[in-house]
Amino acid sequence: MAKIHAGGAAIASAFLLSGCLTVNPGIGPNGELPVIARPYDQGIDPVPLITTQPAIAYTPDGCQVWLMDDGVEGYAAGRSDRLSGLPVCNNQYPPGSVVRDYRTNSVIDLIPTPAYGPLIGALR
Amino acid sequence: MATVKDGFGDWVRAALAGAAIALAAVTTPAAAQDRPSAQALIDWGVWVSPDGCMYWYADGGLEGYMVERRDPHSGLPVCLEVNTCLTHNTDTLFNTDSANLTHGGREYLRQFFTGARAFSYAIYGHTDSRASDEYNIDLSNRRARAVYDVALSVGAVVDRVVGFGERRPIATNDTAAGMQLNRRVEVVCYRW
Repeated sequence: MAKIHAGGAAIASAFLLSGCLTVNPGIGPNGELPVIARPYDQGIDPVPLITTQPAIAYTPDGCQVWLMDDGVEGYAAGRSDRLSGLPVCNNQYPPGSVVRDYRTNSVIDLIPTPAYGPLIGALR
Repeated sequence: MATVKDGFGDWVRAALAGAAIALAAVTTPAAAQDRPSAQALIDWGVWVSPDGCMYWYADGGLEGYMVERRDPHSGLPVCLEVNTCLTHNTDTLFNTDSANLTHGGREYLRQFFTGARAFSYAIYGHTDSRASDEYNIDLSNRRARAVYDVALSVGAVVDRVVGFGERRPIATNDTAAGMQLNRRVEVVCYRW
């Protein structure tokens, strides 16, 4: 755990030093609200989320989720049938599967330790 | 008399004041749960999925946020383009008031599912508003199942089969032309 925290702190420091990120100053003196998220990134990947080929991840319920990793953030949101509004679900892949490339750039991909091993999430 | 009058006047004043207090209690937000104050803003951007449907997303520095855009009234996803693979009037696919496919209807669907080449499908049946809601749900379900059987016969994968009856019209049921549009089978193609 300590190792992960140190890694996160190192990444945060690098972004802070480069001026890409700033510490949230809270509500301003005249009541201005800080904008805590914007539809672009000034970090490693200063572009909007423009991928048209997201990966598809399966939830434990077998429903599909659009999945993207821009290197620092991950984005996921459920896939719905546009006509009925119902979720898109099937058993074509086991729960937890990620189909196709989920990364939108070639930034080094940090994952939890261990890299391989049994899934310990819900409903298994 | 004067005393009584004054007393009556006091009572009216007291009652009016009480009414005013009661009204204030009803209309003042203090009677409800305290409203939490906003602490921050999110500048949402739009991402469009391969299905053409819209998602709100924002980059929070070292985290990201994303949520499906939904129509506040219908709850349905908000999408740019129609990727419905097939919307077909049921008059030519089925015999009247029946879930038996016509010869031409069966052949048409067989060719459709052979050529559409989607990963999987959803099949929705609809009727016009004649007959009872219950009857229409049943008829649209049986018709959707008939389409499903054709899909299976050519090896297609079907994720969902639903009969909506008369509950999801796309046109008015007040005219013959509108009712004809509502009598339909819809197939949605799920692609990778």
